Formats: sequence, C-alpha cells, structure tokens
Amino acid sequence: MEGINLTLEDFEKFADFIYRKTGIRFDQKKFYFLSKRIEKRMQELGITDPIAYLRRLKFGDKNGEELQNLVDLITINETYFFRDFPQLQAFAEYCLPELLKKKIKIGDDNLKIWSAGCSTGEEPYTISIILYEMLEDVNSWSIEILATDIDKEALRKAQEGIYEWRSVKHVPTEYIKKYFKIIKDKYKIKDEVKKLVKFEHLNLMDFLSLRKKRGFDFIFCRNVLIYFDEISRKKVVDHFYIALNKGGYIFLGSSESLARITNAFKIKKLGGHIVYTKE
Amino acid sequence: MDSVEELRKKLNHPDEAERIYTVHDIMDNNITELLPDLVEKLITDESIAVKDAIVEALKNMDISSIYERLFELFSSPDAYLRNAAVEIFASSSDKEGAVAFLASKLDHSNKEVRKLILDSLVGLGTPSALMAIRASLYDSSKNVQITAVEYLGKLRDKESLPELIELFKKDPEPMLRVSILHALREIKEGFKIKDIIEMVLPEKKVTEENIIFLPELMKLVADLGEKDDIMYLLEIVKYDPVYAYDLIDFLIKICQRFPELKKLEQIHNIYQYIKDDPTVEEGLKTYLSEGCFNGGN
Repeated sequence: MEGINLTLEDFEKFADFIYRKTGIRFDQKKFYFLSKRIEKRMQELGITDPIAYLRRLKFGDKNGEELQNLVDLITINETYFFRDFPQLQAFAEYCLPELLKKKIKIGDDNLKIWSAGCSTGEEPYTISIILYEMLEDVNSWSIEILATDIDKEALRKAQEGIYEWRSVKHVPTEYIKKYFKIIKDKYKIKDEVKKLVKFEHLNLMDFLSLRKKRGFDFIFCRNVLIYFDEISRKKVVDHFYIALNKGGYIFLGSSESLARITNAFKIKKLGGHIVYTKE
Repeated sequence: MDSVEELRKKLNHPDEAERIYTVHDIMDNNITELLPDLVEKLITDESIAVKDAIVEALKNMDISSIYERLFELFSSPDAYLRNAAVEIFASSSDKEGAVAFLASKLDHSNKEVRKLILDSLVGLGTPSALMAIRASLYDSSKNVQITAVEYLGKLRDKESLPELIELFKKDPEPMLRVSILHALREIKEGFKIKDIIEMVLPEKKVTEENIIFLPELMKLVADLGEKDDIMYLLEIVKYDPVYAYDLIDFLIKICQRFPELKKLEQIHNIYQYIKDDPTVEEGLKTYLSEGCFNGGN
C-alpha cells in the first residue's frame, strides 16, 4: 500500500510489543523485514496509520487473532521440509515434467537446480526427495542441486543433515521411512538424498561470484529477497535471470512477487500456483 | 574495470548477460559519460531484462545531463518507454533539478505528455513538485486537471484547498468536481464539512444536477464529518434507489462512528425505504440491518 511508511520510532514500538507478547526480538537490523510484514497486515486490513494498527493489536484484538496473523508472518523464516507444499506440487507435477520432456527430446541429461538461501538444508533435500519420487531413474540424469547460503553455521548443519521433529513434521510418513534414518529422536537424511546436493557458501550480494552461476533449470529463492533493499533485490534478480536457462523456472516465497522488480520473467499459472519462467 | 570505451562496446554485446553486467558496472561505478548510451540502449535493446536493468541504473544515477533525451521518451509510442521515463524522473536523486526541469515543460502541447509530467512530479513529491502540480489545476485538458486534483489529494496538499474549492465552484465538469470531493476526503482537514455540503447541495436540495456528487459527498461526510454535519446531511438526503448502495455504506459507517445515531428517525425512515425496495439485494439489507441495528431494528 502506498503511503505506509514505518518510522524508526514506530518500529521500536512494534518491536517492543511483539517481544513482550511473543519473546521474539527484532533489533534495528530487522527494520526492513519487520516493517514489510507489518505493512502487509495493514494493507490487508485497510489501515494506513501504523499507530492505529498498533492500537488495534493492543486494545482491539481481544481473542489475539490479529496478533497471530502478524506472528505467522514474522516467523515465516523458520524453514522445514516440504514447506509451501502447493508450490512444490506445482514444481513436481507441472514444471519438472514439462522441462524433463523437453530435455529428453533434445538428448540433454543435465538437470541443475539452485536453492539460493538454503539455510539448514531442508529445501535442497526436499527437492532431492522430489526428484527421487518424480524421476523414473535418478541415476540416468546428471543432477546437481546447488545449495547456497551466507550463514556458515547453517551450512554446517545442512551438511550434517540431522533434524528435529519440527523440521520433518510435514514430510509424508512414507518419505520419512524411505529417506531418513531415525536415530533416537532425530531424523538423519540418507546419503542417497545428500549425494545430489552440493553446498556452497555464497553471499547473494557478492555479485562477482554470482556472475559465475549459470545454466540452472530451476532456481528456488524463497523468503530471501525480503531481506534486501530495492536496488539489491533488483540486482540479485537480474543475476537469477542470467543464471536461469531459457524455459527454466524461478520460485519465490508465496508472499513474494517479481511484479515490481522485473518484467523479464513470464508469469504462468500452474496447478493454481503462480510461477515465473524465462522464455 | 573496463574502460569507458570497452563498456560502451559491451553494451552492444550479443550476449544478453554481458549487456546486463555492463549496465550493472556502469551503475556501480557511476560512469556518467555513458548515460546517453544507456538511454539509447533502453530504446533499442530487444531484451526486457536489459531494459529493466537500464531503468534501475538510471534510477540510481545522476540523470541531470540527460533530462532532455529522457523527456523525449514521454512522447514515445512505446508504453514501456513512457512508463520507464516517468519512473526514472520520479526516482531522480536531484529532486529539485528534476522538478524544475519538468515544471518548465508543463506548457507542452501534448496533453498526454503533460499528464506524464504530473505522474513524475507526484513520485518526486517535494514541496516544489506540489506547486507544479497545483499549476496544472488550470490546465486546458480536463484529464490533466483531474489528474492534478487526484495527486494533490494523494499527497494531502492542504495548501491547495482554497484552489480546489474555488475550482469546484467555478467548473461545472462533473468528473472534475467528483475528483475534487474525493481529494478533499484524502486531504482530511483544513475545511469545514458543513461548508462543503452547502457548496455541493445549495439550498439544501438534491437535484438532477447535483445528485451525481452525492455518493462522494456521503463518503466524505461519513469519514470526516462530526455528528452535526451528518445530521445536517441526513436532513437533506432522501431515499433514492439510484444511490441505494452508497446510502447503505453511508449509514453503516456513521452508525459505526456514532452508535447513538442509530436511534435517529431519519435513519430508520431511510432504512425502511431500503427494506421495502425490491431492487436492493436481500443480502445487502441484512448487511445494513446488522451494521446499523445489530440485526434488528
């Protein structure tokens, strides 16, 4: 919504309120992140004054519904396997078969996928599991799932591949049995899933490194762009555009859109989900 | 880094990726010598991705040396280029320079160009941009005038209130007058609601001439009016199926703002008319009943 602009003072009032209500602390580094989510809720409620929205949270939200709506948005960074299932369904059931068909036709057996901002590995491993499920013979393809993140500690955990229940709770039971080893109360991803994934430390703001990334059929960059300011976001998306093969797809978070960033991708609606493709 | 000449060559590289990287390099290193080249590439390149990258670069560089060339894009038959030029001007870092340049072009013979100038000025949003937009209240084109009114409302320009009110009184064009009422609602303060009601409905009468303004007037009064203003309007307004839906919104809003008004006879009378009108959907009648009387009356 045009016209909504949180001031630093407003931000601090919200951050203080959210901390007291949820224990989640937002320092000034999260200004952009938090303010975007507050603005999204205000937009949905048709409220233009941040203080009016805060007042509503404090005094007009007796059953806590609105606070929950906001909390759902601000905790969206927690990652887990099979997150945003409908989008993965669009990938598995529409985009992947369509692209594989084209590749088979021209005798191309390479499949390159980039999970940009992979955090602790749930997304690239989910993609790997989907490939095992969707491809008749994974071994007949030369597959690389490049999983990159700026956070080295997250990458270490990703390479370890051991998860708590909360990370795997959306994984269908049959996949748990097939692709995880249960060790005490932990879930360890099996080597066959791991072998398709290559982890790499990468800062998406390191544009020289980004220039080396080419030839991907799919790029997943979900709930990452929200951290960037407008110009950086635009540049990162330019790099994704270049890194993607013609006919390839890019997936953003379900609350993210390329609409105001670039006109370069073509929008398609597949299985009820919006996807962006490079023509 | 490549020399200016090398970058210029690379802007025409056959590989789309190379051209995008070159645009990034020109932006990151602020190579202003290549601004004219960027504008020419914006016009001629066939890749939307390259064009988008150029727009972003121009938004982030000092474009004062290429104002004239950019301004020519306002007359382009290509909508992408026209919109790009608006976006670039609106993001100009030298806001005052851009406003001064654009204001000097407000006498352009093409009304579409004058409207695009306003689109850029509203994006710049400075006090001097507001002054330039205000000047367009007297443009020879009604569309340009209406755009100016809309933008002054959007920017909540209180200083333009006397001119807006005067324009409403002088100009009979209905769409312009409706846009003025809408702008007043956005500006929110600096005028008396009762004065506006009297201006719109002189002699306290709804007539064939002024009925067109009633929906916008009701919204204005419902949003900003005090109890007295609302009661004043209620004395004038009679039920008419033509604006039944606007009336429903009006009643619900005023009952939410001032629950004590629910008891007013005028409201009950109007409600009864709506209830008896077979052309109004039953769902809307229930909506009104719940909004005004919590389901009963």
